Amino acid sequence: MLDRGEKLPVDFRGRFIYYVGPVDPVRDEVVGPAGPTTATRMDRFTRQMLSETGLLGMVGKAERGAAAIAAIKEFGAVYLMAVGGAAYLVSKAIQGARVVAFADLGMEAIYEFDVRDMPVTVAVDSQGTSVHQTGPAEWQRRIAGVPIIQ
Amino acid sequence: MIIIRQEDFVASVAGALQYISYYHPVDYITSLAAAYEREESPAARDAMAQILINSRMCAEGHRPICQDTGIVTVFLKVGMDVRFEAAAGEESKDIQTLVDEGVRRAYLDPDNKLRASILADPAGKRTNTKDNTPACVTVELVKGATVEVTVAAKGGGSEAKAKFAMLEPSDSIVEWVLKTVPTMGAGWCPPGMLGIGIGGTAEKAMLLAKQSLMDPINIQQLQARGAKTRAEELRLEIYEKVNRLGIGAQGLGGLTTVLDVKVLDYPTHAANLPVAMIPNCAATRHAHFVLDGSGPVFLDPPSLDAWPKLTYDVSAARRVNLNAVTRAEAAT
Repeated sequence: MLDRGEKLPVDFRGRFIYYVGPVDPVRDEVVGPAGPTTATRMDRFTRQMLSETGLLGMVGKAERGAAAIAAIKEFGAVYLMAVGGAAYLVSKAIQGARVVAFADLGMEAIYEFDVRDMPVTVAVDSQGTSVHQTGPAEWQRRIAGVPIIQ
Repeated sequence: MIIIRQEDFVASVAGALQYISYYHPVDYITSLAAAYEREESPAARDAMAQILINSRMCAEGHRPICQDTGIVTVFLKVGMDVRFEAAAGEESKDIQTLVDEGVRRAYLDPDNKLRASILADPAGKRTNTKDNTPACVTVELVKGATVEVTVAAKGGGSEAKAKFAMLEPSDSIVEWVLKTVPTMGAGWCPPGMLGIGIGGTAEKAMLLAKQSLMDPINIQQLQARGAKTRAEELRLEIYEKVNRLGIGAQGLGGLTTVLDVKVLDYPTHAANLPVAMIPNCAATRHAHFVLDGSGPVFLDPPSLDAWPKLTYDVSAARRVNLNAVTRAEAAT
């Protein structure tokens, strides 16, 4: 849509995108289990989103590639990670949910969530440091220095 | 000759899919709890704690472990002395249709609705089928008078990292695995399992890799008794060396990347060494049951004693209001 010069149905200025396809709610739930999906898949769209929509940050799971990290650094944005496989726990942090665009896509629609105390970790900071590079590199060295624990 | 009623088959498949959506296999929980205890990386430990707490909440609340409730994958071993029978007034259906009826019933269950993740026309419109059908079904005809059913609900994040290589017979499989696992990143949600299929043909190796993930976690028992076959030697060697990569839970760096490595092999052509590797995520969902004609089979709920009692401590975390956060704050 951006490439076609169309206006997006959602204003992203100063907002965070959470990459998730939630389960529909049952009974009194605000939303069903809603853990993060792989953010790496969105790398090819990240520069455009940051440069053209005023997006401030992203929440997802797993590592970001070099181009996305460079864009995050350039625009002073941030990438946070939640724990994949902790979907029901994470969904308890979501206090409000409504579909704001593309309702016909089901779980792929755009939702607006109000969240409180959602457990996340900074995974790419505004300087472009990625925990998915520093973490495994550090632990590979540590493990090489100590006997493997069975 | 035994007769299995279509409805018994459908009800059993639906029941198993609901069951695995909220109950982790106990062997996974036991193994993850042990890995959590010995984990030294604080970030990885925190991720494991969240997975364990989440798992207990799901087991108690009967809601899905993961929002990705998977693509249904079914392995059937149908005894050649078995006949499927329609009830009076019901039409006779093929096995794919029966499995899909079970999928539809499970995923649309109003008490625990699961996510419809399947898109038809994958290279085109990618339209959601709304009921998570169709399943991927593999049928083997075997001797006997029972139907052995293995159902799994495979997450898309881990399936996305499946790898295949047609190695040369003199290549090292271990080397290929150690070179390949780091390219898979963290999107497959470690700590989980690696399923490796070796031999046969290209498609046979892939199938073996997936099938190997249906076995319970038992690498500790294998370590204790020692390897007896080449496949078991590979399991032990790959398990140890992959964990030395330091990828850790969620790719945050840590001691445990895999909780088990499974290897199945099959004779192959002299010119080939096909190797397939499929990871299973933290939400490893599979169940196994046998139908013998006596009625539907519903699995017994596990004892929650196997789940460690953890509480999530956020006292060390920093609270940020995302509605008011500024670019300057995000930089801190």
